[in-house]
Amino acid sequence: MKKILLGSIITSLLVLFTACSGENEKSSGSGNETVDFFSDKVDDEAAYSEISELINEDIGVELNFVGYSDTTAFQTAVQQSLGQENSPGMFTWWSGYRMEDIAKSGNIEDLTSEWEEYYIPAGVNPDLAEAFKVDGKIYGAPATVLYNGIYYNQEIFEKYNLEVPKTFDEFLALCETLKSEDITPIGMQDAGWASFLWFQQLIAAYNPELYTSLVNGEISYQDEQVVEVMEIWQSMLDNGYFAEPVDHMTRAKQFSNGDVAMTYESTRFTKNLEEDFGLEAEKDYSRFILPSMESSQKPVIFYETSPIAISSASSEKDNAIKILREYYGEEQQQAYADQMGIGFLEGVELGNETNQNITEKANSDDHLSMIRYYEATPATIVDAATTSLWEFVYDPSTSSIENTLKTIQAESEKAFSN
Amino acid sequence: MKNSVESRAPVINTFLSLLAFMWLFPFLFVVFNSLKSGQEYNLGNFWDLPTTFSIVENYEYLATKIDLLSGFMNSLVYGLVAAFLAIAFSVLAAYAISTLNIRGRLFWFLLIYSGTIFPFQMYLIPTFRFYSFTGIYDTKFGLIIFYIAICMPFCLFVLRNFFYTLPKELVEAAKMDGAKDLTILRKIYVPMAKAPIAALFLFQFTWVWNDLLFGMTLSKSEETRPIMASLSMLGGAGNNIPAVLLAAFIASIPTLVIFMVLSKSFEKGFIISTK
Amino acid sequence: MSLTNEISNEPNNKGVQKKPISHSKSRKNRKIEWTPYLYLLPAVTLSLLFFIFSIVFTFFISFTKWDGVNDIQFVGFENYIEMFNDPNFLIACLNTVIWVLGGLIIPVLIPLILAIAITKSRFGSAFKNIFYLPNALSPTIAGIIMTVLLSLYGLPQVMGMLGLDSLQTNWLNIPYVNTLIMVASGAWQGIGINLILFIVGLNNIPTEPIEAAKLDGASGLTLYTKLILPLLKPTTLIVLLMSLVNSFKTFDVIWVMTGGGPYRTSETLAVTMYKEAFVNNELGYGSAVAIFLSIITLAISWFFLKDTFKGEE
Repeated sequence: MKKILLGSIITSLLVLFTACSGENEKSSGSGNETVDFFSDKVDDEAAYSEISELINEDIGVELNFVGYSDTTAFQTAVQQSLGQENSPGMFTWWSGYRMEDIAKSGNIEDLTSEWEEYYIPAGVNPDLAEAFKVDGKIYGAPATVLYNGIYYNQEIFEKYNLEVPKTFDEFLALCETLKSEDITPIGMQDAGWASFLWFQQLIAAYNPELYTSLVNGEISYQDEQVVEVMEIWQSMLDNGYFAEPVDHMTRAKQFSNGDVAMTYESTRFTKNLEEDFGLEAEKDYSRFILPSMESSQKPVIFYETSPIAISSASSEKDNAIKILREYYGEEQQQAYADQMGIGFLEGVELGNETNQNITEKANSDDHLSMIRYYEATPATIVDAATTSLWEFVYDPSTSSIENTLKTIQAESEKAFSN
Repeated sequence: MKNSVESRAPVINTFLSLLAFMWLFPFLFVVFNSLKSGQEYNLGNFWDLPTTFSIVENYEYLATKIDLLSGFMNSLVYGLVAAFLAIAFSVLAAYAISTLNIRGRLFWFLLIYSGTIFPFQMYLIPTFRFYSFTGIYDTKFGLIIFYIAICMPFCLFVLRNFFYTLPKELVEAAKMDGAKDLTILRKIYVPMAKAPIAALFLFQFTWVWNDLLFGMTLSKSEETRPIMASLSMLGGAGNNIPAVLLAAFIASIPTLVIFMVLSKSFEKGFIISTK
Repeated sequence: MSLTNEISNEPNNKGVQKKPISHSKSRKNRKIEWTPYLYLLPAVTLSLLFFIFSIVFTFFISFTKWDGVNDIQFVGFENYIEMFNDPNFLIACLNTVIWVLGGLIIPVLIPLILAIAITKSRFGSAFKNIFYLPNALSPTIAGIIMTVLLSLYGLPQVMGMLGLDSLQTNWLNIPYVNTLIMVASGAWQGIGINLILFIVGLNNIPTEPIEAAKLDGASGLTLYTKLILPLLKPTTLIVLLMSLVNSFKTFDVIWVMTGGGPYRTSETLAVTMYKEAFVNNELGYGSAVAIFLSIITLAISWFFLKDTFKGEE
């Protein structure tokens, strides 16, 4: 006891001493100029330290990645420091309503001219800017783009002589075959938000325009087209095509060892499958896009993209703008792709065939790419929709379709009325 | 109370053993699985025994991913200093509230106690703003005073209740001898409260050591961030779980050491003499 | 010495023993003495800086509409009105009540029984170490362990191997059952602190009254119910109240294991508060829930504590 107490007193004095001297060290700096980059995607750290080296060689500015594994901590640190000189030069953010909130406060840089002069010439798809637009101005630059699709276990497909479906009916037949072989066709993630994934994809397969009008509040959720889509989903649930919803890692395990044959996921999933489960692209797993219900329509690839924003008041602002101009350089994007296996610029080798395929498809004319539901429609609707869609998934019936759509429509009317 | 080895001892020991097994079970599960390699764990059956012994491999994986040492010293300092000072301040306050002649005891108690009933997340925004404003954001000093504050309510509660039970004859006798309040506290109260103080030191050190939310929000540089912040850089959803568990065990060593060191103090009952 | 006489020495006795001190003091010195307040100074200063400042800030925000970055709009009682009209709020209240009830039984009763058993067992310290072990882990890690153990390939698979196929499902998806499971797994990590408090409490009970009672022929259950448990009351009060407070604030376990789902059925008030304030960016509404939660907790604490402060003024 006494030793500990004594030790504590000594250390406490030492700390106060070092804490004070630590301050001085920081202000004197290490010679090189650095820009803090706050991010909630801690897995990206290695990729960004390489990018930082590359950029540093070119323009002599370093990128200091500060990871936040806790969303609350991240959000508080960013939001509450905005408007102050010591706020981070760059930070990742969310598109949609959160982007809107901070853009409207006037605390982040309008990057519209940067897009025209630097990002688009570097090969960034101008359509991506849609996700970061607030009142006609673009407030973010894409950190990366993730494309959603249906992963399938190739071993199972080969074993039962199954082929990638070309029509929606073929897809349903495929599910039926798997079911009859005692394999659950589709694995599902139980996260609170995850119920919109199949909703958006089925709506878009029914009619891409229906999706667009729905998220823009131009058509009612109680419209008979939506009801029809829900009924299709209901019959799929009733037929046992969907596995019981489970946590992310369990689902990855189900998919890897063949307990489920397919699952709906983004391009980030490949890293998980390769590193943690030792699967190989185009050998153990591959991916297809859900075919449209009408052969005349193009299938839809949903994407999500998180923006990098620049804090206007930050003392590092000018350097941050310079860094973003360099960020879309081929080497830099290649470095990101090498680490993460994902990318979105043409010419970047992803090192993962499955991801390469979908990225090419998304950039081609045979497919439509659309922003996923979570970012495409106001947050209050998303919140109500994800909750009540889960209610439907757990208890699919005609009356629950009715209730679910009624709940979402009520929120939609509220959100679009003002 | 230990002297009575009763005839029911076997029953008690069996009961304890059964429950102890239940408590240890998740650990055994984890220990077995953390011996596996990341892929063996992910692909295989959780209930199969490990076929490999991958501790070294897992450790190497950890070493490439995160720097466990960074933050270790910081957290050690935060834990020791904050626990010590929180207890010191609480001893003073508890003494005043339980023994000294002050008005509004319940008021003062609730004022400090309020820190524990308020949901922790709601401290983040005001505290962050306060820290930014005063310039103690991302400093060791800032983290330490926050940890001291957040540890106080529980210490105060325990110590106040403990002091309250001490026989007041002791104090009166000391007063007769002309002892001052501070002397009474130092010579009589604190030594008597050895067991609860040891327990509090353990709890508060462990709490500070395991804190992620505040440590991460109120700091950004590696020089300031606590160990849990570096540990959590292992990643989000997709994980090498055996490596995460190994890291967790390594990170738990200091809390276990402190537990072992202090463990004896809980058992030694202080015999209060009323004579 | 008779048994009853000794019991009257127990602390919660309307301050019978306290009075002499304060009496003699106040008689000696009519004007207010300020030195005792110095003892409170460090703790009160920090409390004002951190707790009271944050509470006042949150209280203010609860009457506004604020997203954390833009201008703060004053809206009066709107958040509170909205809160009481929200059907999900009722569910959250109900779940919080389940947590509080569960929090009274599991984290209080089990450690008490264990502490008594441990102080009686020859291998007490070994058992104590085992039950404390999970407490050394960080809540995040404990959460991971429990999630893995409860995942489809964890315990449910064992149930399947034992032939109980109906139990081989994702337990955390079953409304209300998941709350009970989470209460239990919270206890797995949480009872260590309460156990040690009880052990310290039991070991610090004066031996004389017990010896005396034994001479009087008291033993076994009577000894406990009539003597030891009343003497343990100060410790029990701490454990009880802290368990209550923690149940009211329960957030981490739920957020890690179910996120309040499926379809918000396992959401507690703390989860509602968090979702509104940090997920939906409705800080005003989130603050209103936080204030509501705090007022209830404060009221309950006051109710339990007021007796032990009686007669001290």
